[in-house]
Amino acid sequence: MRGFPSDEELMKRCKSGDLSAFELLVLRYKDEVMNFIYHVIGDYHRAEDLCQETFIKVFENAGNYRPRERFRSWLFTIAVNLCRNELRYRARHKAASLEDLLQADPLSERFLIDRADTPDMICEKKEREEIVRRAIESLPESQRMALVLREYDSLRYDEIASALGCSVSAVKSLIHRARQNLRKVLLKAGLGEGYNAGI
Amino acid sequence: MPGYRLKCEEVREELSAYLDGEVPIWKRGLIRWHLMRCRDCAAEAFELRMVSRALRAWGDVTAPRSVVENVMRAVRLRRRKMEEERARLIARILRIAAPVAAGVIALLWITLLPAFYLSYERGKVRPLRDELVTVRVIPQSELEQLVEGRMF
Repeated sequence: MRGFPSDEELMKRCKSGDLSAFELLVLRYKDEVMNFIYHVIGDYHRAEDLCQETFIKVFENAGNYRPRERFRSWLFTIAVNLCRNELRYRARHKAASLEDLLQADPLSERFLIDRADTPDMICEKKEREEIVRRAIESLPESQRMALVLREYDSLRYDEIASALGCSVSAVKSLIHRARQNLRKVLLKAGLGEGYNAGI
Repeated sequence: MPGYRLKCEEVREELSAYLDGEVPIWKRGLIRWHLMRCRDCAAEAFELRMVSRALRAWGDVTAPRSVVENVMRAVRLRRRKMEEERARLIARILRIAAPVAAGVIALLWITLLPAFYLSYERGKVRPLRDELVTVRVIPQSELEQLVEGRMF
C-alpha cells in the first residue's frame, strides 16, 4: 500500500496538514467531480468553479471526515450539495436558456467535434447531445443527480445513497423512474431508433 | 428457491437495478429466466439499455489542470489566513490574560503575606529553643589521655 495510498490514508495525512496528500486527492478525483457537476448543471465554466469549490470545502471540512465512511461518497455529498444550491439559485434567478449556455460555452463544441467527422456527422452529434441534455435537464433534481452519478460516474447504489442522503431502495427507484422518463423523452425525440440499429 | 417465478411487475421494478448489476445473485437468475420467456419485459429491458447507451451521446468531460492549481493556491491562502487568525487569537488572549494573572498574583501576595510573616515569626523561636546544645571544651591533657587509652 506504500506506493498507492488509499483515500482514507490521504485524508488522515491531509488532516495533519500535509498538502501534498491533498493535492493527490484532487488529482485523483477532479475528473469524476467535474463530470458529475457538468452533467447536472450543463455549464462547463460554472462546473469548473463548483469543482474547485468542492475541493476547497473538502479541505476546510477535513476535520469532520470520519475514516469509517468512504471518501468517495463523502466527496460526492459535498458536490451534490453545491449542485443543489446552484440549481436552486438558477431556479430563483431564471438562468440563461440552454441555447444561451451552448452559445456561451465554446468548449461544448470542442468536446463534440472529432477531426475525422464530416460536417453532417458533427451536426448529428450536436443534435443528439442537445436532445440528451434537454432530456436530462427535464428530470426532477434528485432523479437527475442519481442518474448522473450512476451513468457518468459509475457509482454503486450504496455510494449514491450515501451521497444523496437516502436509502438504497430510494436510489433504486429514483434511477428506475429517471430511466423510464428518459425512455419516453428520447423515443419521442427519435433518438431511440438510431440506437436500436446499433444494439 | 425451486419453482419460484417472478411476476412481470416485480421484474419491471427491478429492471434498472438488474441492468446495473445491483440485484442479488439469486434474483438475477430469476429475472434472466423471466426475460427469456416474457417478450414485453425483455422489450422494456432492451429499451432501458438503449437509454443508457443514448446517454453516452453527451460525452464525458475532464477538469483542466488549472483546477488543481487554483484549488492548491486557494488552500494555501486559507491555511495562511487560518494560521494568522490563530496567532491573532493567542495574542488577544495573552493581552487579556497577562494583566489578569498579574492582578491575581498581586492580590494573593497582599492577602497572604501578613499571614505568612506571622506564622514564620512564631515558628522561628521554637526550634532554636528546642535545639540548644551544651558545648564543653576538653583540655589538651585530657584529650591525650583519652586518645592513648583508646589506642592501647
